[in-house]
Amino acid sequence: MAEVILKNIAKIYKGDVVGCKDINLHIKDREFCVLVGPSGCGKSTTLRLIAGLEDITEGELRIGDRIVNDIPPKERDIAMVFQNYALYPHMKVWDNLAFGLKLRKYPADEIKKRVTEAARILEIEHLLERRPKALSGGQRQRVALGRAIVRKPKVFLFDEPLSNLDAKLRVQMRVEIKKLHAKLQITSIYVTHDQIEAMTMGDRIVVMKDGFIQQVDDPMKLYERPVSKFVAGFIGSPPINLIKVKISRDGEKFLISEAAGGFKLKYSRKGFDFLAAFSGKNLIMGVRPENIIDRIYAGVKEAENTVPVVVEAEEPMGSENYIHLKTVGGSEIVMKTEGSNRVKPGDRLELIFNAEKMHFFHPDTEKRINEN
Amino acid sequence: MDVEKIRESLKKTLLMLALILGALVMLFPFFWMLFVAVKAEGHGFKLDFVFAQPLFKNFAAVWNNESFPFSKFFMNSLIVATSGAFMTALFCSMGAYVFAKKKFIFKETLFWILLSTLMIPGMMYMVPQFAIVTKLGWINTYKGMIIPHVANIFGLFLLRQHMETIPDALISSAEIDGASEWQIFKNIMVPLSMPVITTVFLLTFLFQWTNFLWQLVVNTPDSIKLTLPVGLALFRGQYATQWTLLMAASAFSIIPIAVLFLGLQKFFIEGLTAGAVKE
Repeated sequence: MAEVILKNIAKIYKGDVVGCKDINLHIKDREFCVLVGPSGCGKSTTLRLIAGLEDITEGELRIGDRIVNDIPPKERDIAMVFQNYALYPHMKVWDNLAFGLKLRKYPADEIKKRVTEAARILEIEHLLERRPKALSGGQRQRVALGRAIVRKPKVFLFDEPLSNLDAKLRVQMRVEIKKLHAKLQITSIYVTHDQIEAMTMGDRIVVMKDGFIQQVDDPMKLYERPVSKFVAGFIGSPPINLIKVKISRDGEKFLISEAAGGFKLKYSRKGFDFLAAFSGKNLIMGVRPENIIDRIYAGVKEAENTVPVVVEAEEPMGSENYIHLKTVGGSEIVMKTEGSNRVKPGDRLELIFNAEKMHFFHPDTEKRINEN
Repeated sequence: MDVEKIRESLKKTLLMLALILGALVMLFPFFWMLFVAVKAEGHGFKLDFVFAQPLFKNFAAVWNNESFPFSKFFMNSLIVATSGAFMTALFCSMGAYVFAKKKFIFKETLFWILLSTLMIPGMMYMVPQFAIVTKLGWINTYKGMIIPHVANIFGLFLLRQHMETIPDALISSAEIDGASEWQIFKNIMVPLSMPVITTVFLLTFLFQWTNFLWQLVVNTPDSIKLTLPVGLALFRGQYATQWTLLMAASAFSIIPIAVLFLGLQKFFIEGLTAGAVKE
């Protein structure tokens, strides 16, 4: 049980290549914290710094009540699960699980007790006499998890543990890891590039890009209030629609018009006050696919602010349907609708955007503009 | 259809014949050696079937020869080859681990310099090595016979190439599990490199076992540390006409190699082809 605190942590490689920089994180005891971002964003580097597999260039790292900057991995009381499982191929599952305990000179009966217990929790008791080669991907991942839990460490580190599994198994293991965390209550730090994994598993999510932290928040806040265009685009599937718009005043109302010339939306000042400063300027408007409705399908008789579009393609999923559309100005929009709402390419629709769920980002800084 | 079949089986038969012929050519010297070794004295090169009585008399005579203690030579060879091969395999593995997995300044340059020494013929080293060994007073000692050949660049190269294919995550994982550098080497790198280490061991053993020139150079003729090849050469000098004894002595010398190869064949073949294809 321990907190992990990163203070101004940086990793700079030879030739001033930034691995990660200005990392400030306070991971609470028993928390499941997910680091997410595209490849090369510094999430794995950060994890390896916490593990002690790489030296910290700047800053201070605390695990529990100790500063561990100069403490070797084996004394940090952590366990790590690797992407490629990193099972010792020449050892049986039993020995893989017991290896760490043997090195730490635990008594034989304690080793036996712990290995048996871990095997029971992960349901791999029948595999103990096999070698890793004779296991399936999912089984290997369980053994890798087992190797981490036998040591009862203060912190679990996961480095993309599910990315080598097929899609179905991944969903299954995702839940299992969550259950395991609920049962063991050990502080966990989990690295992934998969935003769905991040959203479904994390108590809190750290979104990273180019070595810097973009946002730290719980999953729903991250989804509803992304601080930048990058975070908005990274979280959510299908991804958020980002449209270039021009802001202008029309008496007491604000006019949001497609920058390339196309739809025009008119909203009263209430709730859109923040746009006052951007009158006459361009912004990026973000609307999530599920915050768009098809006027006719929804049965709305008349509406003020509609966006005329043409259907380009649809992706029926059964329970829902993703419709790909194009506006008059050429912006591409994806709408998520009910599975029964079927369309054909070339159909003309009128869309209504949910005005309360709009996101606005600055075109240069790409930072969020609206407060709510 | 039938023509196809006949042609196919004919092809197979011809191929088998060629292979059998090749095998016979290869085996004939061994057969001839053993054949001569069991013949009666004076019948060594005669095409007859007069055998020694008892059959292995020549072997016994060689083994118990007073002026040429073959059993002693044999033991010397065994000691030199085994310890030499063991040390070479150990040092090559340790060096290869560092070159494969550690970061240090001028690593690649250093490795290429080491590799480039493979282009220098071994004979070139003999004079300076002899000078050093003499200075150290290692003439007529096991040290002098073994140590100069312990550093084996080819073995280092072979092992490094193999160890580079061992995933870094395994090392990181062992590190987090609590393994020290030596434990990582002993518990992870060595077991995973065993086929290649065996190959290096065998090749070095073979080299040391058949090494004639160096052992001749570091031993004076009266040395009690003489190895089999040197002993055999001296023996031949003295018993030039006694082919039966000479062949019996030669037969002795191939026993350990044959045993090792047959025993470790599986590893050896695996080692030579390791990394050739992706698994």
